[in-house]
Amino acid sequence: MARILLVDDMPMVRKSVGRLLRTEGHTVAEASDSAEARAILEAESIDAVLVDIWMPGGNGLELMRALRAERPGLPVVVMSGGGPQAPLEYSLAVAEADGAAAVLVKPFDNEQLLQVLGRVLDRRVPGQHSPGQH
Amino acid sequence: MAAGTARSLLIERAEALRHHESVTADSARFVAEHARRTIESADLVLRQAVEAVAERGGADRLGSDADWTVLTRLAAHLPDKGFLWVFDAEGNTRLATLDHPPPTVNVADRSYFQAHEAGAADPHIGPAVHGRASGATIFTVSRALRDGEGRLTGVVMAGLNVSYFTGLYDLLDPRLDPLLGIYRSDGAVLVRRPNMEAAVGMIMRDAPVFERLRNHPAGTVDAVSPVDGVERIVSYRAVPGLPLVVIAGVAREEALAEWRGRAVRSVRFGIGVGAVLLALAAAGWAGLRREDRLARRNSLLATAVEASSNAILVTDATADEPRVLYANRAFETLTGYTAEEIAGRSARILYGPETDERIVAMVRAAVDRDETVAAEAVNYRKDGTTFHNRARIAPVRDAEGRTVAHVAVLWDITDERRREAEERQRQRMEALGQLAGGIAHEINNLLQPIVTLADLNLKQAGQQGGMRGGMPDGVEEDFRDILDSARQCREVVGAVLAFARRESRAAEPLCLAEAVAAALALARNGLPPTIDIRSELRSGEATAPIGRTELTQLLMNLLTNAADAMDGAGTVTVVLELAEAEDGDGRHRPCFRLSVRDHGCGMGEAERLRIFEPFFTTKPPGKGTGMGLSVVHGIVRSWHGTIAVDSTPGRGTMFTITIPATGPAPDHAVGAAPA
Repeated sequence: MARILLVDDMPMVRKSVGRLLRTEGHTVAEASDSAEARAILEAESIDAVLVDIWMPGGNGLELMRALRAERPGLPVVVMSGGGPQAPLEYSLAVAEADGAAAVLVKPFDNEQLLQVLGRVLDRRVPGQHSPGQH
Repeated sequence: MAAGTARSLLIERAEALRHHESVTADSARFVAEHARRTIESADLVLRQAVEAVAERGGADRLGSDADWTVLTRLAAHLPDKGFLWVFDAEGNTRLATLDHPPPTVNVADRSYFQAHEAGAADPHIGPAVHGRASGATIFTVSRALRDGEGRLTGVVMAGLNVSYFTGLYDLLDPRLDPLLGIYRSDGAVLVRRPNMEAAVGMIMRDAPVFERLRNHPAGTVDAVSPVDGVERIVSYRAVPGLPLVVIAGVAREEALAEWRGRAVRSVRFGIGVGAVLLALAAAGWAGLRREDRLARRNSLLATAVEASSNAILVTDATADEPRVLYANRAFETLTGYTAEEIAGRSARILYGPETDERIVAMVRAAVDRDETVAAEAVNYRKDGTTFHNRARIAPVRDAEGRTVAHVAVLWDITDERRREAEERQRQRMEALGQLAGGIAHEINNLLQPIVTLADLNLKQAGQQGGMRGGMPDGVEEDFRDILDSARQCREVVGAVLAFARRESRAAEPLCLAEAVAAALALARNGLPPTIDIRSELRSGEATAPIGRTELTQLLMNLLTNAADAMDGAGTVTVVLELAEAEDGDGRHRPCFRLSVRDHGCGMGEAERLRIFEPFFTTKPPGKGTGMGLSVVHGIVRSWHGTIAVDSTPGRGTMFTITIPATGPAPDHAVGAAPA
């Protein structure tokens, strides 16, 4: 069991992926942009962040980099279905290089997301939350 | 310049003849002037000799060494070993400058002596004769010695060697073999080149020149020589103040042969035909400064046309077909035809199946309307290969405004066309990539809930199914179909993206030096001319498994940034070299190092740290999207290379990129998910 912050501007993505994560026993907080995400991070204890790259009013890479600097122990998984200006693999390559715990290409399978989350949560510094089993 | 030279190089047949007429007329003018000066100076010597003889008491008293010395000094003022003779009233030799004491020679039977006996005006000019003493061919200029009553007491004669004149005429261009001569007004030959010996003693009184001379002191006629039977264009001119006429002629055959072979010959000798024609006025003809200047100018023009890096072709406008009259060296290089082999052939030999007939028709129509026309078309080399030809064709007009030729300047724009095509293709692929990327973004995001929810429901149904009471009959299968369809849709989107990126994928190893050079050439077009791109590409033929489009995109973005940083003017230096880089495991692997350095405004540390972020820009609104360096970063990361930036505010910025020469290891593949 972990507390996961899901950041995506598309409500249907938040709703569906959120439901999957909750079904798996995680606690899910949802944000539609970087500002909301930051507010939640200020208020709540979060174990992992799942963030989309292309969002209005800022992008997931900036948030990811900021969090890498501010909270080095917090794993950030970056996901993207591609962007209007930069090819998908460039964005994901940058994300990976700049410290994303993992990258996911949308649409990903449920099992894929769960495996990635399991892995990044496992990698966290011992003493923090261990991944929940279901 | 080309048209001016073409005008002198290429003239239709009548024009060629007319041109020769003007050349022979100019030559006649020179020969006349030279004859007048020579004979007047000889007469001056004669006047002084007449005075000297009178001072010494007349011809009969001559004979001393002192007499000989005085007259020999005077004779030294005659041209080219001329000599003086003094005869008494009976025609006996009293003194000869060439022979002292004089030979016993009587000239009472010579025409000049008899003319003086008959009271001819001084000076008298005699026809060419074989010298009785010297054996040389000479003509004479003589004055009478007379007593107070006007009785003939003797004759002073200056002998002028004909070889002095013919030697000068021989300095002319031997290819034209001009006829040049000096004649008495009654037709007696003084000097003639060529065939002087055959002409000695001849009188041309009935020749057309002498008929016309009665009414026209100068002119040009077509005449067949009674000496050698050659038909010539002959210009004649009376010598002012003397009973002489000079002629200058060129054989018609020579004039036309020269015209026919002009193009080829001028190429072979590397000088213009105008200069060949006007060589009549060249070496030794110092009197004709105008001709000299013209010859030099034409020679310069012809050399310049030959040296031009543009192919230049001149065609005959008077023929049915645009027959080639002249082709320069660049034309030979461009087409593979030598000037010799294309001379006289139709310029349409350059056309072929891929040549656009409509353009050919358009050019022909413009040429028919006597207009200058520019056109681009596929042309064919001698070996059958094609090139894109951008030609500009202009009429060449003669003095009367008639179009006698066309001059075409040809540019080989094959490379330009290929680069344009490549750039268009690159832009198309980029636009397609962006479109596909945008659509894919939307679809992939919409597919996410479908996949997630279908998958989730199936899993839950499966778990509950084990306990019975899962989904109603058929619904589970429906969900499976939904999930399958969504996954297939994902594949389709991936395929579209892959297609859009096809160009950027490294199908085969790329020679970086070549690719960077090509990319720079492309980038050059998009930058202001005030940006100077210098490149040092030192990686030889080394290759890396990267995409050409990505490399081009990367360099374009970096160069655009550099140009902006320098306010649109300055030097950007691009260096490509081989190096080694340490990989994650501490091993040294071969790589390329590509650096792009500008001398622009530079940036501070805070900016430097953020430049690769998407949307980060220091440019004013509307000038940049802030995506340029982010894309660069993404491209470099996709190659598993590195990018570093070194910058000093006010001094400039240098980006250094390493590109693994062997490509990424398989386990470094980007992305964790199947695409």
